[in-house]
Amino acid sequence: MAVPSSGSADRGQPVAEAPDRALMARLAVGDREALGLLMERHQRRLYRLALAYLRNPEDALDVVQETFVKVYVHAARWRESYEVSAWLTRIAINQAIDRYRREKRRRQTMTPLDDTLPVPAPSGSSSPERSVGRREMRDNLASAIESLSEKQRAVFLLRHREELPLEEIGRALNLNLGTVKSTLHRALARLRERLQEVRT
Amino acid sequence: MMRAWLHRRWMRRVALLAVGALDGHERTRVELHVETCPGCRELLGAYRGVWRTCSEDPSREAELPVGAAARLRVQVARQIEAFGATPEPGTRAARSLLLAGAAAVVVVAAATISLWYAGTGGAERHTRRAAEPTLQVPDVAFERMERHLARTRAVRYLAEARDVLVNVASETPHCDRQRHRVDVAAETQRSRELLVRRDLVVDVSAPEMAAARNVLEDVERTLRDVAALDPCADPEALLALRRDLTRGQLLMKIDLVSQELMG
Repeated sequence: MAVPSSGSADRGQPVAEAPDRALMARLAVGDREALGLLMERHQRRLYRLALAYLRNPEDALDVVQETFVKVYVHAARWRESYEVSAWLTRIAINQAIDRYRREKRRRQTMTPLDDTLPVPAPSGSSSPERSVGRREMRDNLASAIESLSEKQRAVFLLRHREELPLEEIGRALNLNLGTVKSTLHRALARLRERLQEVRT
Repeated sequence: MMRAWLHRRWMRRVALLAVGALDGHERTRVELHVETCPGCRELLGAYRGVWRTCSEDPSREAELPVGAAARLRVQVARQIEAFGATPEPGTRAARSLLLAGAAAVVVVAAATISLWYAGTGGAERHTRRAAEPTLQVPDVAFERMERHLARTRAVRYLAEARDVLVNVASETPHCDRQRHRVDVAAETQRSRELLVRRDLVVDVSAPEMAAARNVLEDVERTLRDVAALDPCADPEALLALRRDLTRGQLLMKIDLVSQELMG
């Protein structure tokens, strides 16, 4: 993969500073250097999204990898009117869903995310009790998110993490607006129920 | 009955309000309703609580594992090259340009990763680190990490291949009942993907793969057989494959070799 260079984008900007749209336009005509820059800008965000969905770091990395290969292959499908970030998100979430379906059985035996992610940093002073509390909260949250169906999880994460408008979520997942709304509602209700269960 | 139905509709709107998905007139309407409906008020508080709690999910702050960014770049570049992945029509005109740059890209990627391996992130850091030899990680540690990564990748590849073979060996739904054909479209597709990926993720000639070489070759052969099936296959062809699988005890061998690779 090419590393950013001091070349120039179409409008005279250094490539490394070119906006995402300019990079996508370059990629669409086969400029692979643009892909390297897009990766640098978006890989961490897409990794976090895939990780939130799949709950497994290795799978999440694979999804990011597959996403960028797809971005390269399908670059010509990108249109000026598309928000680049949302377009990448759309590819990534669908890759994550595909992977989730493929590896549903295997996931039962994989390392749980809880053992591979850090406990959230304490906001104030730390104590063993607080640390245990945070760990419990993290475990409960992970189990609540995992209890969502694949569609609920995708809709929920696209709204919660990516703050995508509902219409955009619908486009990303090929759902109509009404379905997005009801799925989001069901996801919230389900999470509430699960989080209440573990508290009582 | 009507009241319950109406209330359900309000509940959905309350959920949308809680996640900030309502604007303008709709938002005002729901806010006014919430003021007069204790049940919806409570629900709004609960949903907002859930929304806040979900912000504590550790994946929100997760960083890419050490070295993953460099690995990703190399893997994507290799995948594009080795898979013969080409941009869709519309970008083919640039294909010759791409190919010309491909070698340079791979060289740069290799240089990037070797720089990373040497514990440097750029010229400045490189110089600084060179002056601080105690911060350098010994080559042997990276070699060990590389070997471990190679084994892990092989195990993952074998696990994915195993899933395909388990599906092939299991009861398969019909795609055409009248012609007694069975649906193996997903398995054939997945086999093709795995075959394409194999050269990237598994270096059969590597010394650490010696123990797995025979099984990897058997797996490749079987995946080729699966990939060659008609997506809506004749059950006889599938039966022959299943017989070979049972006779060769391939699934068991995959398990054993995977355990061995992971030590």
